[in-house]
Amino acid sequence: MSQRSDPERLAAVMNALAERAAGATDQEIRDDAEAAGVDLRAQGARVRAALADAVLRAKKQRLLDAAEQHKRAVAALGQRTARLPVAPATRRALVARVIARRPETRQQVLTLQHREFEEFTDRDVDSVLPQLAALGLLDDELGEE
Amino acid sequence: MPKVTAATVDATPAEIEAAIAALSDVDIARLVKVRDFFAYKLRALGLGVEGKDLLQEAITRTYAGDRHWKKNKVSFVKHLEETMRSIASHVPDELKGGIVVRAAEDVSPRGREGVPVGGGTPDSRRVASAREQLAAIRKTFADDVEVLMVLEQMEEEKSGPEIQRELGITENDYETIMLRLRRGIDRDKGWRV
Repeated sequence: MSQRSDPERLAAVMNALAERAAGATDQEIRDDAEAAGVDLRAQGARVRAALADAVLRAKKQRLLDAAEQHKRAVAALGQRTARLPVAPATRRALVARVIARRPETRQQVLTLQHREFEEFTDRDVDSVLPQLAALGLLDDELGEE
Repeated sequence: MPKVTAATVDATPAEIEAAIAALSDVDIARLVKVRDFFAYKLRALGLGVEGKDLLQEAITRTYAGDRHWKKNKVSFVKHLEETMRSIASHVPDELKGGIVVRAAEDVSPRGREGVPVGGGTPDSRRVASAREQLAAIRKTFADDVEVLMVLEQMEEEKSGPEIQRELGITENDYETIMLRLRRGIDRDKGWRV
């Protein structure tokens, strides 16, 4: 006898029986059911319903996961915007720094407001900042991540 | 010339739902049998997956995209069998080989003949449970030496042809013995989930 443990022995027997069941012919399955007094139709209906229920739960879980992800994204955005400076001059300077550090964002910012940055009003800056925050472009400037 | 093979295509959620609805009663009976054996193993080893949920777990994982049903490669039934096998395949290292033998001795001063209950570490309890279940299965076939001999070979992970060679029996003999084994296990529903 080998040095196999009892759990390994039990696992081997059950694995083999499972493999055997998986490879059984339809007739074997029917014969076994008849011998064991199993009503295949009733069992089929019961298990099919349980599987449909599992799908329903998986669907609900998927929706819950999506909702949770959305909630986290909104919270993250809120955190970012909450850290924006209040003073108009500081806010303008922040946008200027981002544009200077990331020249590729300049065009995006200009497109958003349809005018040159130098001509931005405080309201333009207020409009652009949350959008830059949402894109994560202020994280370095605000000391996040 | 490179071999051209069909790309694998994952089933959509709608296709999975349709496949469930299309399972025949015999398909389901086969899946239930497979589930029961794997579930019994997990339960006996105290590995924490509720046996009656193993098939549902396979569906859930497929639906959630954790397991991919390559619909153009395998049937839905085969996919579910594979998924259940995968879920049930993990036997922790601490339940294998020499470590287990020591753990078993810790809880059973009577050695392999004893049926230790309670006490000991979680692993030793699992070992005790496995030993108890093996003893119960052997007891079911106490009057059938041929089944016991085949069981012993199965415990060693021998394949059908290997068992036939080892025991010097024909394929027909083997199939007859396996039929008695299956029916006996089915009769002894105490272990069923």
